Amino acid sequence: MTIIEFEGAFESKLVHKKASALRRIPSLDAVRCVETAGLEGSVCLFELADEAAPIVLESASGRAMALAPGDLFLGTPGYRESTRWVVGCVPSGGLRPGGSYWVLAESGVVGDLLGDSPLEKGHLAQVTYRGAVLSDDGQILDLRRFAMSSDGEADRGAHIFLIIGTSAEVGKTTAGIAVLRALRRKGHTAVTALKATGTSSLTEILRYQDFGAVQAFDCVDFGLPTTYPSGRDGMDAIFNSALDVTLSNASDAVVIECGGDILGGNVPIFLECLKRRRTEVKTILAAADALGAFGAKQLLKEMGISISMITGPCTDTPTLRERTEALCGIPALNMSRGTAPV
Amino acid sequence: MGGLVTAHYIIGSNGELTREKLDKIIEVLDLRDAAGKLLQPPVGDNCNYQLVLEKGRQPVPPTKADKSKDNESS
Repeated sequence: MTIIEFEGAFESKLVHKKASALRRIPSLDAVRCVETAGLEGSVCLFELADEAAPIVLESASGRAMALAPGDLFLGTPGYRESTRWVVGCVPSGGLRPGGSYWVLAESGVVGDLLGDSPLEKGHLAQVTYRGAVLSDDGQILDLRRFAMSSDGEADRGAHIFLIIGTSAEVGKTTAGIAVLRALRRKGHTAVTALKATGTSSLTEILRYQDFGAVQAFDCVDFGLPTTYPSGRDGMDAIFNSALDVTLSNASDAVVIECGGDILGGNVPIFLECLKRRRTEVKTILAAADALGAFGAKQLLKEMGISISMITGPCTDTPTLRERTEALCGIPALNMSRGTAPV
Repeated sequence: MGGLVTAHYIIGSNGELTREKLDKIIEVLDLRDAAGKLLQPPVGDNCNYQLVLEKGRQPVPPTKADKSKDNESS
């Protein structure tokens, strides 16, 4: 049993649940909490109400972890601007101890709820913020303290394959894994994956490792639970750090997936950072329909990016695939299935 | 809200891609062989190492004696 200490007052409660956004935080023998504002990226203690229904979060090991009514768990305040799931933010000044907030993402991101889609979500529930967790030296634990850095290692010049999409849930990770498999089929034994933008999901980056990536990173590895809100300050530094680490990793190819759509999650800033590193990038666009693919092609052209291949639901049927290919003048290929039924 | 939802996403086509489809991806993206491109041995859990032992100038496969020696040292 873990002892929770609130500024001198002890409480005996069990805290053994840590959400995946905190996967880089070392294991704690005891949770020492201070009742102070909860800021983005801080390690914070939350409580699911006794009368609440159970919810499911992604644990620090990547498994689907149930939270029972009354459970305490460790998560972090953060922002989310999903095009298909949930939109929420950290209120000005941070989370207030004793205040009620929402679990915005499976990875344990918590904040004010601004809206959500009708899609069913296993994580969306109200929780109470109890306090921020202190390290042994009395400082508030924060993701940024455990962020990776390249330590000046040089860019190894690996080929880059960029996966971008017109929305969430259009098959970007499916496309990324198909490219990874194709690279391995051509003898590339060392491929690194980076989910550069969007909301952290350990399940997604572990999927890249399952299919043979030597390493896979996302924003948590660089100190943020998500790359939202759009247009925030300081994203150049975060993205450059992510590219430093990824491109200096020993690999002969790199698959980069931009989560969310092309306009959100600071994707345009990431693309600018990437263009400064490489002029030759093979870009795969995942789009929901032919017109979306056409619009994305025009937008990316303005950003100085040309598309090598189109995939996603816009290639699900022969009719739509052919229309996409004709409209965009770019090869379109479905990557979610083998041969099309005859 | 409420209720348990344990399935997160369906990601990566569940391995259903055929060799022909992978070959098509290779063709469209003009993927080249990796030979000679790797600058350093890969690191991490999912690497493929090719074991080559050299004795004199001739690469030889590991012998049983070598394997047992390795086991002793570990």
